[in-house]
Amino acid sequence: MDLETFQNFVLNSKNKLFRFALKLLGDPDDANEIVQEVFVKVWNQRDSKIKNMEAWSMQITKNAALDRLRYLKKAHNNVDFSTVGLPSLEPSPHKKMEMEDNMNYIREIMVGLSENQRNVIHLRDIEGYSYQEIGHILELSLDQVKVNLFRARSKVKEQLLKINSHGL
Amino acid sequence: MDSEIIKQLLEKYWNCQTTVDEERQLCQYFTSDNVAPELSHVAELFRYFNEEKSKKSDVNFAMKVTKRFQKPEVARTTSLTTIKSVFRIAAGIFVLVVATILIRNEIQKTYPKEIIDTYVDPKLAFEETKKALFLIAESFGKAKNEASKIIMFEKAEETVKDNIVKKN
Repeated sequence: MDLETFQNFVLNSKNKLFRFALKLLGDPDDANEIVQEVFVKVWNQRDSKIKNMEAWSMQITKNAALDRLRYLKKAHNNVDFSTVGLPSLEPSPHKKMEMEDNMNYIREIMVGLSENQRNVIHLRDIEGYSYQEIGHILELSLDQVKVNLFRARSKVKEQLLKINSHGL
Repeated sequence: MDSEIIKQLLEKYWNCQTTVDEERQLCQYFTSDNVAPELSHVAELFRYFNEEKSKKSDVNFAMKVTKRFQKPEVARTTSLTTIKSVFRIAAGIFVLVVATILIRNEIQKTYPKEIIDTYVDPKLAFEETKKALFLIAESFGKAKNEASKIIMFEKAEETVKDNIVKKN
């Protein structure tokens, strides 16, 4: 694969990779850096026979982002990274004002999901991947993907119905 | 689109029975301005998906990544410099070897050949050995004569000592 083909077919997925890395890391600079590293890896493997280059790139992105999180967790042992980059569940007064925005409430709902549920819903509803592709990216079986997506959507539905009946 | 169809699609969506295309239709509907009031609470979810989808990587991302691809060329130039320095070292060693050979030749010229060289002709070698042995024998002969003089002195000394004893 030459550079032009790589730029046209592989680099096109840069925003998907960036969004996924951002979802996992929560920091745009870290996400950009990780995705750059991923593309360098993919470029070095450009002659390998890989069926779905984009899904493979997403899988590398996930692993690289998780490695970075583990490294950061080791470096700052006291920091809780389970909610890195995600809005706090204990809102500040300023945040409370922002909470009036429904969009922020949706983000809060997403924070309440498990990591797998969050990743599955991101890959399906934001990036539009098939279940097989999600399974490949997250290294989960097809059933695990379906179960996680079902549980994630059920939780979201439940929360949205609460908003609808009680308001924010 | 008819809100009844949307409601059916939405039900399928919550049960994870929608295709990617149907989910795209839902997204289009909920991000439009024609959302039915009874479905407005769900619209925020799809707006959230849409907003997340709009997040993009660094503007100069492609350029930065392409620059990193050019790193192997840097590696190639470094290997070229390594080859150059190897050649320099080899040239240094060559000069040293040549200088050593030249100096050795000069030393050989300044010393007489017979001291340095050995005799290839056996007859000549025999004659030269004979000469050397005669020289040694002659020296031994001279030494013997000198030694007999010392013995004569010792005898004379003893005779003088005996005479002194007899007189006393």
